[in-house]
Amino acid sequence: MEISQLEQIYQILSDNGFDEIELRLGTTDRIKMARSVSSGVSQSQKNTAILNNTANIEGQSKETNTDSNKTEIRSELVGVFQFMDEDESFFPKVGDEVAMGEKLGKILSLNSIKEIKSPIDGRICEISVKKNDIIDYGHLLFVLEDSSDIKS
Amino acid sequence: MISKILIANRGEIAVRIIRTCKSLDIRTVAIYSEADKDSLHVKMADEAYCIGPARPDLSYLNMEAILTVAQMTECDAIHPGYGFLSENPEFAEKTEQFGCVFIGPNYKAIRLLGQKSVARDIMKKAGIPVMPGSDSCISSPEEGAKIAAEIGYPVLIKATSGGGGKGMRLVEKPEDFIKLCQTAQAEAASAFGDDRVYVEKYMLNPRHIEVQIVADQWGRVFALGVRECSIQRRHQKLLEESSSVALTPELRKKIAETALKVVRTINNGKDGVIYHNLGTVEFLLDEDGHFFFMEMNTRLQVEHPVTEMTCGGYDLVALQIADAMKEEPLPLENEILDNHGWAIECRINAEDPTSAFVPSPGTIEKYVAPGGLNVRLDTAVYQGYKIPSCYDTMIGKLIVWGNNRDEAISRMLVALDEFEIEGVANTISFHKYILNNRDFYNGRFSTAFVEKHYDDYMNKIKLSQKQKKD
Repeated sequence: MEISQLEQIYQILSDNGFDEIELRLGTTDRIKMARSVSSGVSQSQKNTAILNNTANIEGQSKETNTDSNKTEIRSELVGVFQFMDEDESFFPKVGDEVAMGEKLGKILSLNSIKEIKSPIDGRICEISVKKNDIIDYGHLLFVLEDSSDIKS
Repeated sequence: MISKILIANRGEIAVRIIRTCKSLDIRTVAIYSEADKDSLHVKMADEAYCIGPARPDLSYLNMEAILTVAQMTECDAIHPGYGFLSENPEFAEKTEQFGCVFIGPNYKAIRLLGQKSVARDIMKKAGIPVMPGSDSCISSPEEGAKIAAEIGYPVLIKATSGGGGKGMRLVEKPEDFIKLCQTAQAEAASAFGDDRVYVEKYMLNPRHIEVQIVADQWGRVFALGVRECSIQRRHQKLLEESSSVALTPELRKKIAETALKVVRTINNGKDGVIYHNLGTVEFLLDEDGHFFFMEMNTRLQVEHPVTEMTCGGYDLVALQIADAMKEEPLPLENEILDNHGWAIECRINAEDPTSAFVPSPGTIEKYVAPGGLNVRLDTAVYQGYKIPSCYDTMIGKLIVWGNNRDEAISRMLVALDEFEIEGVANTISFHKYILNNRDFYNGRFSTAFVEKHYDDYMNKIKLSQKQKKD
């Protein structure tokens, strides 16, 4: 097998978050390839990271705000979006200050509710979702600006 | 009444289902993974939702996400296509519990036939020929070795929950049995979460013959012709035909009648299950014309277009939807519908046949599709489309019809010549080789065809490259 083909296999591993792959060539040859999880971004890491600054996420560059003090919050599951309280007593607005861990909204799927929390202390720059919107996986929900950057 | 269907699949089969829905004025909802955002099925559906990342377990196998989309978009039914969740009884059951129609057989029938050893036992008791082997799953490798010695080597060890060759081992010598049995059990446990295996006599040089079944919820069962799928590599079919050169009209009738009996055996079971929708009964055929039940697939088959081309022009997906609506019996009359003319399907994959069929994902730089009378191309690709590395590498299924096999072969060769794909390696040259091969032409082949002729193919490729250089 040529080096370019091995590189292609590595790319498949890397693209899909697989840690190990085994190929059979002909009836006798077998190639087993494994990578260290720490050598790349695994899919499970990606899933966690999707609620964090997307600048760190492989394959999300198109949607990443190049302004480094901005943090995008995207949906990590498909569902219906609602703001935090049914009575809308908390209804985030652009310009609101939010603390790390503060609840911003929730996504309702068939059997679960996913709370959307602020990953940083910051200010809401953009709200890209309305109540009862159907949200895809990866849909942009909020853009936050880091408080420490605002102060500086 | 079904007015909106979620298609829980991707690629060419999602496109193919959407086309039928459009013709029936049924709205469609596509689901897709991040890797498929530029896919044709996403563009063609009335609505489309990204449900997860590329990894199948987080997207196309994610039942919760799929059912959430079905709920949000108020779909009446879910079509599972083939692969992914199509033969998952849990998904079919959950879909029904959720109040949606699963376009396929009843989940109890899927569960029953998914246990290969159970299905084998039921058929054996009903007098349907099965390969000699263990009566059910073996309790230990030692018990399996004893059965293997009784039926004679070579034998196959097969996973009862298996498919696609996983958890399967060929054993040629008694001294290898225990070790290979343990390997098969471990592989089955890892792939299917079920380490139970059974033992079956291994047939040398078999042919793979299958019968398309259509059944409705009134218990009516029909056999729509036969298909031959012997040209395969590592249990993956490469070329399919309808009908088969290996079958006389009498044998064709007998095998279709046996397939009908398989379904009626399920319908006559104690649990009151009525098999409905589509199914495929697969048989192994030996060199003396004896055939044996292998398994029944409870879904739309990849190669279904060769049946559509030779059996009255029925749209099998439309029949599936009509059955799912459960409004009236299906509009079929003859229990056995014989093939008319001849159809061949070539599965064109983005694989390099000159390099042991290594996958070749990437961007299609140039794409010119073939056409003409009785030429059909089921695909989801287009020029500029990037074939992702995370799924199967199918570019498309090229299907032709002819009045007879010779005409179909000639027409396929013309279509393959017209088909231009650049940017990714593909299997067109290998399909041309098959169709020009004397053994294939004369009908002298078995499931060992690819293995037997691969070196000859490589020699011809090298010779042709040398001639080009000179």
